[in-house]
Amino acid sequence: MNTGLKTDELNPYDVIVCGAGHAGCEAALAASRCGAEVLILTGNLDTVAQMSCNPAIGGQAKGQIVREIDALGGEMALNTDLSAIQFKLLNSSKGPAVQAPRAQCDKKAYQLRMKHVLELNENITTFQSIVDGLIIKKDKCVGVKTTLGINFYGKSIVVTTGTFLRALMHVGKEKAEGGRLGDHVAKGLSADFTEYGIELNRFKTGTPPRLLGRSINFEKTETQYGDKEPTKFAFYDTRNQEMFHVEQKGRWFHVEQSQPLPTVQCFTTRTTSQTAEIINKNLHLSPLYKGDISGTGPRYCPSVEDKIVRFGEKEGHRIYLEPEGINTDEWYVNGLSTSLPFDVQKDVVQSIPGLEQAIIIRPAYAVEYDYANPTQLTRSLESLKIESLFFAGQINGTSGYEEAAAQGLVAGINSARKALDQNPIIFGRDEGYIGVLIDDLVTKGTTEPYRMFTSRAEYRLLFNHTSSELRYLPKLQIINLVSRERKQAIVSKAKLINEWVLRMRTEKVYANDTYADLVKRGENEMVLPEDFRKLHKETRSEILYRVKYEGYLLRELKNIDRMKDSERIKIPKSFSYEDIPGLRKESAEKLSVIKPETLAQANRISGVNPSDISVLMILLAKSNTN
Amino acid sequence: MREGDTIVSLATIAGESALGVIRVSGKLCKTLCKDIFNITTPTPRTATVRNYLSIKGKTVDQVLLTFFENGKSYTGEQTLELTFHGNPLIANQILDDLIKRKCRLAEPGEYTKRAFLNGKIDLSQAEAVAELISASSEIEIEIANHQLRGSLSKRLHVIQSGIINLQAQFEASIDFPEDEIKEKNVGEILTIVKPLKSAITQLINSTNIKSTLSQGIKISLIGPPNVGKSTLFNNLVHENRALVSKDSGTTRDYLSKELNIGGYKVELFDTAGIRKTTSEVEQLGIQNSIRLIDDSAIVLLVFDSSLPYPTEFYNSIRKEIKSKAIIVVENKNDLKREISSSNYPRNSKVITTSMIEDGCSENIISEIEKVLSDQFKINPSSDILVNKRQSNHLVDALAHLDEVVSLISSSINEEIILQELKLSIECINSIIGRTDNEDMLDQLFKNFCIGK
Repeated sequence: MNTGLKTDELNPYDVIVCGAGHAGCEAALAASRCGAEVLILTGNLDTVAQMSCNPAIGGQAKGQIVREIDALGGEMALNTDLSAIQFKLLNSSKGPAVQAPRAQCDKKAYQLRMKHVLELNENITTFQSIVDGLIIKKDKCVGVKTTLGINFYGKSIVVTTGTFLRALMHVGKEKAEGGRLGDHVAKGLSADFTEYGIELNRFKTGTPPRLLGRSINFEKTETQYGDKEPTKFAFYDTRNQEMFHVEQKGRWFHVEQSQPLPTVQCFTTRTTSQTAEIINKNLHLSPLYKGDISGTGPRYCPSVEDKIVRFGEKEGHRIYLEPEGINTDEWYVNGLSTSLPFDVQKDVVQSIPGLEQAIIIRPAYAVEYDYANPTQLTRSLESLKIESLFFAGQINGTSGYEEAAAQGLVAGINSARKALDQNPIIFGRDEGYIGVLIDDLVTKGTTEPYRMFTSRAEYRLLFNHTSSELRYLPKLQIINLVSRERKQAIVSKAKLINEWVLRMRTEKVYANDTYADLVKRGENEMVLPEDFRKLHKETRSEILYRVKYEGYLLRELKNIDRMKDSERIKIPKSFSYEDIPGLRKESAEKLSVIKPETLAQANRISGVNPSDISVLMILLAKSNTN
Repeated sequence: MREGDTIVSLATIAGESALGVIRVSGKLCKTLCKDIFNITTPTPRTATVRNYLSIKGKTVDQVLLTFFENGKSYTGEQTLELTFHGNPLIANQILDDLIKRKCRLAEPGEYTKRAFLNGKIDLSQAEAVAELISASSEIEIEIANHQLRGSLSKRLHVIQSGIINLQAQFEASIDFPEDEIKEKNVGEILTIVKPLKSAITQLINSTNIKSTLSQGIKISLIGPPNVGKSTLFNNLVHENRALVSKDSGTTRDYLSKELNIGGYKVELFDTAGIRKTTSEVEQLGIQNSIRLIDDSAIVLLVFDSSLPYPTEFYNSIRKEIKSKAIIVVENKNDLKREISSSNYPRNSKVITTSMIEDGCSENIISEIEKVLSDQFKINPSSDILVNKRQSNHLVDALAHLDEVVSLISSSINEEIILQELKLSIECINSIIGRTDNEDMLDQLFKNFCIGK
């Protein structure tokens, strides 16, 4: 029960979340679902769940993550569905495993709804205050200090500070402190982290300029329509009363409002040879090329100057114009991220067809910030150095709302469980993208802002977005993340799917053909039994996928079994890698930094070779028997 | 790590000996007893004599087999010990056959490792085992590195990066659907895959040359009984090893001797004369002779020129000698010639001699030398030879690329094709070390302008 603001050291919160972005919100909500009393602190309540960059959720690999978040009771999917103004299923012409939903959102609606979800949650207290220090006792984090001079105490602390740590923004040679245009910077925390042995490094990211819609000549651009039939992120077929929890209770979000918002179009245009000319002429003014920015930027999201320098300007680079909302005429220029000086930005924009007269209402800028290499974390996202301190989101070197939210969910669950004296919950690489994300981060670390790609998942074929709920069912059985009714609905859905798959495989239609044969041959759904066609769309597509790709999916399951064998061999936390005969020194060094939790994880560390693993296996067997 | 696999290796030294032992450890042992020896429930720790029946249904050798049940063997797992006649040819055939039956060659120290993990070795030996494993693998690495630093590694890296490039192409179109990735058509992809496949095939083919060179090139003396094969053998090896008599069928089993001819390590075989017979023992010897032809690089067909052309003999070996280098030795030219050379195998060299009169085999030796230098032209600085383990991985890699080709032609989804490409990359990884997804991403971002 929410007892309001508490500052008593003897009566701590279960979980304190520092930051209310995409990671922070999911962390607070997940922790509260696990039964924890939560305090969430943010520097600015007006920017809760702010979409700092593009006005869209989902996309390739990210869309799958959002559906997994929904499967685990998270909020991002619902929040997207109810604030979306355009839906699109990417790769719809390719196989189900690589299809991904995406939605353009109304940024303000997204933010306000998420804020309201926090407000309505009885286990969560929200408070506006900048955290600028940690309270550490005996290598354990027990609370945080704020710039107001108030201290808060918690059994677990989750840090989700995004790009705000020692954040420095660049527009040309102009620099300003702050994690986002118009926002503050967090300085104190970095110093504390360093003092307690947590290593920090610098990353850089950027965002394009925003334009005034009425100054754009859309007639010179190409229209991008959304799908007529939206692919939503939340699983509606298995949820009932949870569906409208804000809309039912909230004062402003009524059920009527959850009717789809009006849909919008996006537009595309291209850079021209004139664009390239302007950029090449002014390259020396870009802080990236002048060397003013030392942080590493993402290769998958290069600035426009990078694109021109590295790939030239033969056919022009595609630019997407996306609305920031339905109650604003602000437009996001996807593909035009830059840190060139403002007057050059203006010239660059106006060299593009349709944007000749365009007015910039927010400049593009690059931001540099501290991140803590995630190899310093366990798989529950707890710090290896300071007990009860959890990290999630961009501070772990990732990029993207979806990646942040997924980590928030994991850190939220595990911080609550730590506070409540329960075992951590580990997400495996075989369960879904969330498992891949966490394992990649803590095992391999990252040298550029980490974004999920489907290619990172070795069992990609099993991770089609419609199967998320079924894949996480075993997790839902052990933690209370969704209501009992919904859990039951998922169990029934799983059963139904299995029965149908079996029936399709065995029941003969014509002489020697089973339904499965027809499906594999690509026949129309009309040949299938009538009661099949009556099933829910999600259920239907899952059954068809399993039937059609049976052989390939079975092979993946076999590979998972093999991986799990060595995942079972645990490495004790106290295991010392020093002076082990036969273990190479460089491997020993890596292992003692990353501290893998299982032998399989050790095996994924780059540079650790099979003979090192053999040696470890023997010593582990020895210490287990002792 | 593949702890669940059934592993197999030669327990005795490689090379000729009276007997050899092959050890198999893992859960397949019982199945193997049934499939190879038709023994459904083997009596543990009891030796049984049986014919070893290969997967193709051919008898390889008569072996003594002993089965050890779970917990009662050296490794603690089901174990099978096979004692065979100590001939490296038989050893290789059995090992090959077991691999075809889903066993794999054991890593250095792996039996001991399993013994330890299954609690069969005293704990105090743990460190020693660790050292043993790292030591053996380091030696292995050193040896491997020696070759890897050189041409093999370079060539495999070229092949692998070819595959990774193709992977990056597919991945880009999957992961960046809005980035205008130009997709390659089937024809373009096939032109990329084809040279990769033939490069791998070339390496696989070199395996045979490599093992032939290191084990000795096999040359066999084949012919009907009583044509003077053993006399020729004794002459060539400069000692009276083979028993010689006027009675046909004197040589029952084969004999062999290692020789150096023109710098090549050669193993010369004297074999039982081939004829129809009712004697079971002689029949076994004859079967061995025919099998030897298969393993030989050069066959010396020995005829008695005073007799008519032995058509029946020739028909019984015609299939086996088809692709072999043949030297026909017409012996007994001191007697009246009856043989007609019109039916000799095509492209065979012919030497006419009399072992008894000449007692000299110089011309035969020099003929063998010519054939050897013709067949085994090796340039040590540029030619790559891969060993059996490497070749096994390459065979797998090739199979996955074949699958890619057939999938592309049937226009299946990219993500399925990608699974095959990844598997083929993994196979090559087993030889040259691990690459991970980062290598693919490096290629992807280098080749495609990503960044909607």
